[in-house]
Formats: sequence, C-alpha cells, structure tokens
Amino acid sequence: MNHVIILMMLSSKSRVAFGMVSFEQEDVEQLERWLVELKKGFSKPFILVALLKGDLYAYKITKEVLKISEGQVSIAGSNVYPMLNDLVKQGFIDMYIKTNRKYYHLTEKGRQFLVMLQPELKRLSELLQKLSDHPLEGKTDEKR
Amino acid sequence: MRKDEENEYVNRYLRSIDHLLPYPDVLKRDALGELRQDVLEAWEDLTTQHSDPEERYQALLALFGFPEEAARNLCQANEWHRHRAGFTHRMISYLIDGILSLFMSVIPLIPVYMFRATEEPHDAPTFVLRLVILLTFGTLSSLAIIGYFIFFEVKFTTTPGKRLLGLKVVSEAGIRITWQQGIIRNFTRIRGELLLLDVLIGKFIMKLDRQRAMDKLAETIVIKTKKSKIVKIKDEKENDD
Repeated sequence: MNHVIILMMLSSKSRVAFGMVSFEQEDVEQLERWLVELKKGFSKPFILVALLKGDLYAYKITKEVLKISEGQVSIAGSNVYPMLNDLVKQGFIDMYIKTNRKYYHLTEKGRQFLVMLQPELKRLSELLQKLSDHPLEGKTDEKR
Repeated sequence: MRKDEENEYVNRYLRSIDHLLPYPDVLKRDALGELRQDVLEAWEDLTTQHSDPEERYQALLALFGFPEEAARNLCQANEWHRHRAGFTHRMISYLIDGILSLFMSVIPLIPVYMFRATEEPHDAPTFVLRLVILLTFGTLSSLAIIGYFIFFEVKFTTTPGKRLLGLKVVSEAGIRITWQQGIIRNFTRIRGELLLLDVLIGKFIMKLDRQRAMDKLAETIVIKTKKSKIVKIKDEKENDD
C-alpha cells in the first residue's frame, strides 16, 4: 500500500528519472493527434488510388479509402469535400453529374501523378522504417 | 420509431448546416444536395450498427463532424467567402449604418432630455440624480450603437447598410458568426477614435488583408456576396476576379 502512495506522490518527471515511465491519458491523446496529422497527408493519394477502381461519389470514396487502407486512413465525411475540390483544381480528378449525384473521375494527369508519386512513397517508407528502427536509448532530463 | 421521425435527425443536421452558411440558396444548392445524399446513405449504413436513432445520430456526427465542422468544410470546398469586401464598400456601408445607429442611440437619451426639461431646484440631490441619469442613459446610448451592429451581424449576418452594399460578416472559415465574435469585432465602435485606431493597426501594423485588428481577434471577415444595390463602385481589384 505504501508503495502505491509513494508512487502516486512522485511527479511524472521523477517517475521518468527513476525509469518508471508510464503513459498518461494526455500522452496517449497527444500520440493519437500526431498520428491523425501524419495520416492526413496520405488522404489525397488514397483518394486517387480509390478512384483507380472506377468513378465514385464522395461518400463512396471515403468508404473505399477506409477499405484500401485497412481502416488506417479515415476521412471524416465532410472533410472529403475540400480535398476533392483541391484535386479537381489541380486537374487530378474531374467531376460530373450522373443520376442526380456528383461523381469523381481520375484524369490521366492524376494517373500520371500516382506513377510519379509511387517511388517517392517508397523512399518515404524507407525513411519511416529508419525512424521506427532507430535505437531509443539516450540521455533525457539532463540540464543542457 | 417511424421512418419520418428517424429522418428528422438527418433533416435537423442538414438544417443546422444550412443555417450556418449565410449564402444565397442558388450557391449552396449543389453542395448541400451532395451532402444530403451522402448523409442519407451513411444513415442507412449506420442502421446495421446502431438500432437506436439517437446513438445512430451520434455516430453520424462522429462520421461527418458537428454541423459547424461540416459547414466549414463545405465553405472551404466551395470558397463562397473568397471575395473580401474592400475599403470603399465598407466605408459607405458604415456611413449608412452610422446614421441608422445614431437614431438608435438617441432613444435612451429621451429620458435624460425629459428630466432636464423639468423645472427642478438646483440642489445637491437633484444634481447627483441628474448625473446618475446622464451616465446611465449616456452609457446605454453608446451601447445602443454597438448593439445595433452586434444584433444585425449575428442574427442576419449583415446590417441594413451592409445589405445595401451586398456585404456580409462571416467567420474566417466562412460560417455565421457567434455572439462572442460579434461583440469582439464591434467593441471598438463604442468610440470613433478607437475604431480608427482599430482600422489603422490592422492596416499598417498587423498588415492584415482587409481586416480590422478586432476582426482578426474575433476571426471574422467582411465579404461581398453580390453586387451593390445602391452604388456602382469601380470595384477594388480583389472583388471582381
């Protein structure tokens, strides 16, 4: 029981110093926010990839992206509209109306862009691999 | 629960989004139509996971975002708020609103005038009473001026003067402003000197793009949504692209 009280009295800084690092809710939330930001960057390439399958409407695109990314990249329903608008402006996709619904179509320019993007993504994944394999020993909490 | 009662959740959601977007229906129709179809399909998808409509509505909010977020996204996608109002338009609308708000500010001063007009002895209690009345109703008079702007901008996104010039006040993201934003952006109207300072700081110190300093603080912009009804102004370069 005493151990528990002592542990509770220690500040998070001192717990780190004693090597008793525990992730607090705040840290977990921070990590989630980082990951969301990181994954956001992949939304547009995923939209282009989703459209390789055929012409789709906005909601169907979000479902397809979720499926292709195996649940890793989730574009909130209304967030997809500004992204689609940007891609239309860039000429990577175009929009047409069929049966009263807006459909999006991958253009040749969009397809070419994906061809260009793929080797760059490979390089990026190698970089991420280096980052994830990097040893995490090092000095912390020392006066600079 | 009946089908139309369930659909009321979707309608309520879409109505909230529509309300937050103070733009002509003709502009919004396509975008809101697309959103409606997507939301209805998502609602059907969610039926399998959530039998309770309230739970399903919460899941819908998680999927599409709260109405404010969805409205912001629609506005960002369609750029309805891209034409910021220039100095000439804002100045003319301010002059019109200035005259109208002046009438409003006179109303609280009527009791002061009436009390002053009565034949009262010039003793100390009467003097204090007069001072209190003057300060109270004088303050109310100043508040009536900013109240005029706050009320019209928050309730209708435009004031009578701005309406004549085809201007609207929206948040930087393009949606309807809140009471808090209305109060912040109009605070300096209480004194002409403060308003001038607000404009000058925004223009020359903060180097803002057609925003007063208080506009920046409130995260609001004044946009031009249609042609002016009363004056033909050779538009400032940004407005007619």
